[in-house]
Amino acid sequence: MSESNKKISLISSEGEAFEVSEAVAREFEIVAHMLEDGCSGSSIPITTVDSNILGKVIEYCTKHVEVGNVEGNSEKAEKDLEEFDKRFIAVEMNTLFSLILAANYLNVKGLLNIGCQKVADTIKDMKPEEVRSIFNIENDYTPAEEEVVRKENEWAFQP
Amino acid sequence: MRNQNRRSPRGDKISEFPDELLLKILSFLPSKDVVATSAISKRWKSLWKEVNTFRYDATPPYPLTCQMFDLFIRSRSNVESLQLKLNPNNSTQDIRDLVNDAASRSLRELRIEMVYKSFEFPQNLYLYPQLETLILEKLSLVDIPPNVSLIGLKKLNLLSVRFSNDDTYTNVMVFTIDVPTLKCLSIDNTSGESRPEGVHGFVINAPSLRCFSIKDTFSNYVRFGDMPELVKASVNIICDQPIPTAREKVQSTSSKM
Repeated sequence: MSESNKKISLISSEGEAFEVSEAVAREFEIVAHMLEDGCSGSSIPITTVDSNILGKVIEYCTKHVEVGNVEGNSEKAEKDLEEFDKRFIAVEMNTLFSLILAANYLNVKGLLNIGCQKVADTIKDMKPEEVRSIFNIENDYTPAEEEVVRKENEWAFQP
Repeated sequence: MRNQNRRSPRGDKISEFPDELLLKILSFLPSKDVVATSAISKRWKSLWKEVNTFRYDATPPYPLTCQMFDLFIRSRSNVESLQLKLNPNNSTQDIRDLVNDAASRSLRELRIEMVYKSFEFPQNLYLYPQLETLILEKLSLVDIPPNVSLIGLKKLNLLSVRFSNDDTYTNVMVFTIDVPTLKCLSIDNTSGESRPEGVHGFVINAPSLRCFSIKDTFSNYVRFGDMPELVKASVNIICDQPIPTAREKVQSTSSKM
């Protein structure tokens, strides 16, 4: 068994070290797997995630580990966590995208879920042209091509 | 020719996401919105075809009818997950057709929520042995048949689900959950105005259960079998009414699930 107070350093793409407990680091499934595979080093480079985003992901995991450890009164704890998630994910679009990519790379399932859910909530009920405009997506269809695509599933484009 | 480089100069970050991430995002959207993403750009043209989660939300003013949605389901070959938010205007027949069409397309997860009031759920819900997840919310199960399979079920959530029986002479409603494969069970029986008469509650026989949560302020009869595999449990049962005596016909109305 591992000691619960063991510390691990996670190194961001800029080389900044974030010291976290092993329990928090294990929330990153990619790290958990490394530890299980016998990687005993106390510092782990996370080369694709910058300090700003890594700090946020650690904040998310720390909160979830803390709440997970509290015994009893689970209903209140669950509500608190929901509130935390809601506030945590209310960030501007570029940060949200970076969080999703980081959660996907590090395999933090909870964060990946609330991130993708947030993007889905944003584009729900939107027309394709509205989605393009909020995400800066260039329309590379010719008008004729777009017409064909729309005709294929006309029902989905009804108001 | 257009430049094929995916990195857009205007900072279109989302189109650079790998397919798996875009598909995950799409799986949270109603199917109508999922299909409409095909018109965004070429990157999005065919992604919708790979989404196996199908969501239909009948909350007004939603214009898509249940039948139209069913036509769409019938055009797909693989329906892994069907998630319905229904209102009382959706006819039982339409819902039955929809569930049947999804079931014959490898359905593994079914989630049904009634938006307004409870309604009678079609019995053929119980006949799909390949179902792994069943989540029912705010609806009423009527005349539950005595022999239902759901033998492969791993996760069952009953949230504000009512059980009733047409036989007005009995006042016993004990719902038996007898699923050897069940790993995760969540029951919320705390909402509603009036308490039914007589003996009502749950019998839970789920020896493989690992995760169990029950919140119940209505039942006056709850019995659990052995759960040797249990990892996490939250039991919150408040019973402040006496169990009525005599005159109940327990054996005739228990239902197995």
